[in-house]
Amino acid sequence: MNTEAYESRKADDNLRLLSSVALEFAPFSKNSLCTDTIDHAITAQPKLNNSVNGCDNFIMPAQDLPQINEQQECLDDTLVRDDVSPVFENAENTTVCTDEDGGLTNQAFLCEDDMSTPRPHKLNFTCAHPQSCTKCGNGQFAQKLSTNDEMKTSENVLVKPAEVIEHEVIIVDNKHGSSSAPGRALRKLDPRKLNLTLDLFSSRNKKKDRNKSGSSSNANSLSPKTTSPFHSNSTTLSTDSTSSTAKKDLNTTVTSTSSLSNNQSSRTIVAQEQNCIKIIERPSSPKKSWLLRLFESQVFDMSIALQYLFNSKEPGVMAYLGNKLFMFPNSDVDFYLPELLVMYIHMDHNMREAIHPYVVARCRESVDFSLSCAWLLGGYAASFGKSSKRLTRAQKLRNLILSGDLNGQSSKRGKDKAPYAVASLPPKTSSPNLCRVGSGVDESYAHRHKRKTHKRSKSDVMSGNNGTDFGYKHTRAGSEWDLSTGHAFESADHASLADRLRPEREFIKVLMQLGKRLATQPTKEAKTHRLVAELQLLNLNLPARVWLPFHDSQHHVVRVPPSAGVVLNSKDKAPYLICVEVLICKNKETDEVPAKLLESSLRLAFSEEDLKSDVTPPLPSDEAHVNHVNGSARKLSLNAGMTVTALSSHLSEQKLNEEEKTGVTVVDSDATETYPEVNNHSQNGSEGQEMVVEDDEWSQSDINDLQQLESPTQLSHDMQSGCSNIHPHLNAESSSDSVSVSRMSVLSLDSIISGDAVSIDSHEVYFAAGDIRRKLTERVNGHLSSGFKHDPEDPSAAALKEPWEEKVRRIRESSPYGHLPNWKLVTAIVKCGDDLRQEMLAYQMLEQLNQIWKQERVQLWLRPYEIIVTSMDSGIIEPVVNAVSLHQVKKNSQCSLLNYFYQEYGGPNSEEFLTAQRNFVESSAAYSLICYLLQVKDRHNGNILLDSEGHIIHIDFGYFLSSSPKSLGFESSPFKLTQEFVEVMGGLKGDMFEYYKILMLQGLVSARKHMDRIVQLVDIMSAGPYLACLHGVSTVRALRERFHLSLTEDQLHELVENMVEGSMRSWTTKLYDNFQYLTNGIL
Amino acid sequence: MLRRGSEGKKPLKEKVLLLYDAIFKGEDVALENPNFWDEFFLLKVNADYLEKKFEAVTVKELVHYKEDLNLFFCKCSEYILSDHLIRMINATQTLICLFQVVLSHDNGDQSFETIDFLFGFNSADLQMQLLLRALTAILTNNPLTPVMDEDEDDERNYPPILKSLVFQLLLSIISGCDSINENPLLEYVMVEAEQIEDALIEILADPVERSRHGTHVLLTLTLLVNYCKYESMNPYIMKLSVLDNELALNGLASVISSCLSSFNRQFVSKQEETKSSGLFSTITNMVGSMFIGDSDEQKQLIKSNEAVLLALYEAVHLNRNFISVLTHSHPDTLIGTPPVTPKAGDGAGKLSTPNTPTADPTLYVGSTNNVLCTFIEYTSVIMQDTKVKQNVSSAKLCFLILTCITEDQFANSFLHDDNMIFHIQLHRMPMRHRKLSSGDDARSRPLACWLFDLCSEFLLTHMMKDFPFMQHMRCIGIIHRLMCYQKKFHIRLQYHWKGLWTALLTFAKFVLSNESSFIARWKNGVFVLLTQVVNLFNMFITFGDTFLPSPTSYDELYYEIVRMSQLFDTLHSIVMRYINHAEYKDFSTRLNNALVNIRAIIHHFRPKIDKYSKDNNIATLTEEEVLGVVRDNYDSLTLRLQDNLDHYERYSERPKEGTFFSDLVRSVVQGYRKSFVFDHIDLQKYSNIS
Repeated sequence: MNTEAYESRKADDNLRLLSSVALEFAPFSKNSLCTDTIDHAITAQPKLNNSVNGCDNFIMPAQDLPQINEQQECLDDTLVRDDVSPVFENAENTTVCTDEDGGLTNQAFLCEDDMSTPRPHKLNFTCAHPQSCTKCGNGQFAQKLSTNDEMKTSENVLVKPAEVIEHEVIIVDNKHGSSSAPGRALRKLDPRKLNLTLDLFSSRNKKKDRNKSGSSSNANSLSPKTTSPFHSNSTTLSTDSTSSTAKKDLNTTVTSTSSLSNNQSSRTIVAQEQNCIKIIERPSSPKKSWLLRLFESQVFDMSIALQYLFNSKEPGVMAYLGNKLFMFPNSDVDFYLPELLVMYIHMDHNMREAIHPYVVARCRESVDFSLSCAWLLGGYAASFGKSSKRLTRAQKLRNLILSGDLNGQSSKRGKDKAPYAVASLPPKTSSPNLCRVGSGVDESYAHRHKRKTHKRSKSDVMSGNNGTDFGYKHTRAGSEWDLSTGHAFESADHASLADRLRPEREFIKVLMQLGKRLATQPTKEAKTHRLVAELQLLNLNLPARVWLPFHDSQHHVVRVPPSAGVVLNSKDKAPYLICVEVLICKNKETDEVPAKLLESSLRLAFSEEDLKSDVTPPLPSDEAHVNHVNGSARKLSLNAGMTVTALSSHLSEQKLNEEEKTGVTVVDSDATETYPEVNNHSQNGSEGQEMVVEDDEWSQSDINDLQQLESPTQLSHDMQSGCSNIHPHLNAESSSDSVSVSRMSVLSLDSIISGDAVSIDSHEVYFAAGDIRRKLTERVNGHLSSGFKHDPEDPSAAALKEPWEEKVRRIRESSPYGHLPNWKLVTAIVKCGDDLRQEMLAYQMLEQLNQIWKQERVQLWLRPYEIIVTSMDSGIIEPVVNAVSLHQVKKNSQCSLLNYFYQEYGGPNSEEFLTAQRNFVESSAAYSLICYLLQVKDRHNGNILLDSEGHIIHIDFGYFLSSSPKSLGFESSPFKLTQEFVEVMGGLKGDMFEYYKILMLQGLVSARKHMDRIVQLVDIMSAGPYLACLHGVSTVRALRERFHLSLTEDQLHELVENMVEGSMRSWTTKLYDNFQYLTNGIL
Repeated sequence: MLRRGSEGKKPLKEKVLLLYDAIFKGEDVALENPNFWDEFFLLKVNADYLEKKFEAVTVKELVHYKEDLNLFFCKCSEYILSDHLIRMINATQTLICLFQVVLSHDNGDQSFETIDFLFGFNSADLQMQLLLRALTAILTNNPLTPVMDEDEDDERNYPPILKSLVFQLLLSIISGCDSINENPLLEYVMVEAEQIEDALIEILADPVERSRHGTHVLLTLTLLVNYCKYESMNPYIMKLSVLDNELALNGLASVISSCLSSFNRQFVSKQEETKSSGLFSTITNMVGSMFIGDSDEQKQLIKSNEAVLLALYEAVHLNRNFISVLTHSHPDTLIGTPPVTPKAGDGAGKLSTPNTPTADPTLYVGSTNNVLCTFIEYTSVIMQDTKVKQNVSSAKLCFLILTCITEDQFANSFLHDDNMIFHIQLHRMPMRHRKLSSGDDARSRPLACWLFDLCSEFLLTHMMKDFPFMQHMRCIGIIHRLMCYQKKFHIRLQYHWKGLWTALLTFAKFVLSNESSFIARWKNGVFVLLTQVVNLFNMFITFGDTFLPSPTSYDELYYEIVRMSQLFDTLHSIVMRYINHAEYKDFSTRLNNALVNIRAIIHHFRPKIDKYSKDNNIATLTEEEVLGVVRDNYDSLTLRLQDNLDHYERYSERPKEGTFFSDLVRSVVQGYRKSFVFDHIDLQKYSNIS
């Protein structure tokens, strides 16, 4: 290996790995069981050996082997190894790599150790080409290392990954003393450039930095077999294993490089006696090198990786790609999660081995990932027969994720792994009960809770803070009983993964069950009613550490405004839309859950109107006014009176005195928080000073709140006389202070002010009856045009039509949490009884197309909406805001689509209309293409939305690809293009219609260019569980054909013309609309 | 020595009776037998005997027993927190007896003596404090002194029976005197307010406990809140008014709602019974017998519900947080049958197997009701018959509650929320001259609509000689409050206003036709009432643009007014008659002012309509034609803006309703005492629980 090689590569692609050399240390000596694995490793090599940049390097992800071992165990339970550690010690000690010279061609690999006798310190390692190593790092260190130095070097290299993981590394120092200069130099090396292994580690470690929990276990999972020889010295086994793995990797690199350089053309397995040390290598054929090159090139992305992963039959490639997954951004991989899991369940053993580590690692670090995995797996699991092997596989992985054993994963395995069980616990979460197996955990768990029950503190009860009371949470989850305790979404502690998952799982479960219960309600009204009721119940349990599991859901749900919930149109199911108030936080898992605020504590929403009264001097005190002032005086006098008796002017003293003398605490600590104004007043009152509400925050609205408190104080009759001296103050202040502006006078003032036409100056004010009626007409009409009428049969229409911003504002105003800066409103459609996996697939394809078109800069507009599958027959859909269905548009506007456009956006030449029209065309073209490519069916007007900007958006992909509703064979046209649509586009002859067709052509051409990205999704999914849309063998082929690879652009142009023509002419579209009208009443 | 077998043997005097005698002999029983009390409290209480024993003695003789009583009492409260369940039960029951006996025994102003008899003056403070602390400790499952080891943690949950006995004890302390304010013991309960209130709230917040003891908690809380309501600082009032534990508030609502809804159910089933018994009997019986024939039971229920209503009133009136739980629904099944005590262990067991399918939680959960809907339905029943005195006060309370609710802005916001639609079964009095069901009854509508319906129903059905004047005032007040809110926030309720207008006009007509007798009786009140009614119309006329649902409804309003012009003419003439009357001058002037706009409308449109009919030669115009005329002639009509139309006097309990509430509390207390039954508990069941 030479410098140039590294240098050139660096220049070439500094993001990619340097090609590395993989040396397989088969860490199993006497164990015949290992052979299987080793074979994998061997077969893996040819794929991965690639010569890059003329440097014949050998690549083999060093983790592969350990992973494979682990997987074999985890998954199939077939391998049982008894003694592990000795093997590793051996393995460690056998590593000897020498480098004769730094040259490219004459490196030699030597193993000179006697493996049979473990000698921990006799690690004889020669870096094959330290110069090159260092040069690739910083190019300033070149030194031939003595054996001893080399050893240090190697270990310092190892320190690097360990450090990244941020764990103490004691190993090296303990064993070999402090590192020398070469070590330091090497430390500066970019691990990515050192070799693949390091790269993998570092990339993974970066992730870990983001999410520290369970970080070390990550490394563990990758190499559970590589028990460190330094076991006794290390504090953390995971660190050990990491480093040991890395160490071997380095060795591997060195050795295989040398062997490559020797131009060995055949596979070389160096086995040292019974220790089975194998150095595997293969000459790289040109083809394979191309493959690796691809893998390492910049264009290599998740989509390609997936494709190769799916198509490859080579375990090595799979394993490589499996590791490669770690390098992609999480979001990229998340996008393909369904595919990964389908492959995991449905493909062969090797595939599982390749994917498993990634899944497990991600599950550990991310609750979201765990949840989506668990839900998806649950969904897939349900679709198998009972005894299916796949079921068990899916089930097993799901259990692994949900049971919380992921942390102490191997503890489940049995006693033979006992040392592991302990060791693999990440230091952070090593609470004792995690180690316990199964029931043991639960026992301790239950025990803890029983005790908790009796130690409920009263302050909890008083403050209504449900954050700390665990007394009831193990009552039946999801039942109404549970919800009514107000503690449904609490978790005991956040140590174990299962506990961290619990609240969110419960939350989703509750939402789903709500949907199921709704379905039992006979009428839409009953459903709406029920929904409101259930959401109120749900609210009792919020805020909690739960969230809506869409993308980037760093928030806590604090409230679900009950009256914003809407039951959507559906015949027998009851999908519903909820608005969820959330508070954004940095990290939903660790941040404090916000405290409960009561609905009645919200500031009055309409305080502006109240403020008006502040400006105007209050009316001459009429009787009621005086009454009111007295009322508030009385209210305040309560506190004042008490303090009069207490004879203290300081608040604190006063409180003390209250307790002492009257034996009564007026305001307990909770109340102090909630009603600070009470104290304010009492303080002021006691001082006999003016009553001034100093704080803006506690102004009018709060005083109004306070009025509710008036009654208790009214009762203190005797007190009143006692503090009558305060009354004058109050009355004096009343004119300047909003406190005493009574609600009544506010009302009357307001009425006059808002009575538009009149002034308040004269007492004899006249108005015309005609004006009133005109205003009424205007207002009613104004109201109607901006929204749809509320119709109890279709409550969603009005709710969806309301502009989103307005809705947010409205809810924010009426929410006790609305004043918080991090308040946000999110919506979700909860659907149960429907299999959303197809929708999910559709979402993926739409998203892909969207990206393709964006990338190719085609002006097509589409709006993929996110889908979360929570089980086989339920899920959550991201609603498209500001959009109503064409059906609702037609029903409410009672006019043609074009006229509706005029009505909404203005005349045919207005700016707004033209923009809307353009939007309509661009979205229509996109969805026409999609409908054609994906053969989306069931295109009635209830499934097509129109948003406030004029875009159309297709929803409901229940029927696409090879499935169509009831197989009636309706809708034979390529897509839905009705006369009305064409009208909006300006007619057949119009420019916009031409534009429409051009857009379609452009879209088709660019989609064709990237068709693989779409086809592969279908391809992979059809390997998975049965989906109606993937029925039949020819689905994928038919899809591929629809991209018309063979056609020239001119021919495509013709095709588009024909399709548009055909769709317009299509009588089936009309027929289907009529059919829908007859059967479902959809216009 | 003392063995269980010895009790209950017929020929012999029951052991416990002997012991009672021994206690009151003035000897130190513990001298003979150091375990005396230990054993004594293992014996079943005989309340009758104790009662008899004290009935026999006069107040003066009682003085002799003082020492013994003190000791006895002291021992009882000591054993309430013993480590043996049977002893605890017996001690509690004995105390219940003692309190009842002693409290009922003395009459008049001997409150201090009562205390003296029970605990002795010197130690009274301490004794009561200890006792009350012990009681709260039981209620909260929170022993004062940890006697058991951690292992037996589970047993710490006191059984429900003990808790309900504790409530009985608390209630017998509270309800010792007819007049709650004169109860000397309550001062002590006030001192311990902190703990007791916390315990009550904790129980309310817990669904299981609530379902067991909810009604007791309710009663206790209500009575405590009403102690010396106007005279002194009542800590319970303070605490209830700042209570912000949503779970507890929800629990409170749930208890109230379940009580009221059980009454509603019973009413419905009774009605159906009557109906099914044949058409003839229906016609003959229905009106008359509904409350007279089988009313005993119902009366009883109404009486017992007084406490519930009172609780609702206090909650609504005192605590503004409570408003937000008014519409929370409470599944019926949930309240009816508490689940088998969900123990922590069960849940944990479930947790270990996340994949095992749990029992289907989507099981149909019966109908749900919320406290407000149930309450409105209840009101519709209660207000039907105002002959029975019981109903009068209940109905009055119901209207007071509605007044409070409609005054609250937050409550109004959900009363008018289009998304919070409910269906309420309003029970209408069967009347010969009208059909029972109207179309709107079947639909779910916002609650405000139901309130309007309820009010117009009341107005229409209570036009009687025995005129419930104040109720009518309240009823119109409720309508007014709702309208004020709608006007202020521009809420266009999709309500069929015509029904309300007709009701109001019919009502006014009735008042006018009985004008002389009513004025003789209520003096100025009649004018106030009529002014109110007229002002409602003024609101529609003046501010109709802000809350009427459609322009046509404004036309219809004018149509109705013009149609009933006769009525307003009569009204005007009456006003004119009284306007110079010294006594009625002010109020009739006010009414006269209020009438200005309506008279203007009538004077404006009547000639126009007459002209139209003359022009077109139509004798009687159809509604459409009249509406057309109205529509065409708005512009030439000028009206005067009146002040303070959307102005109402806020409800205040004092001084107006003070006596009503003290009477009500008295009746509740008496009701409780009357219904109190001494529990004979089968101790055998608990003998194995230690």
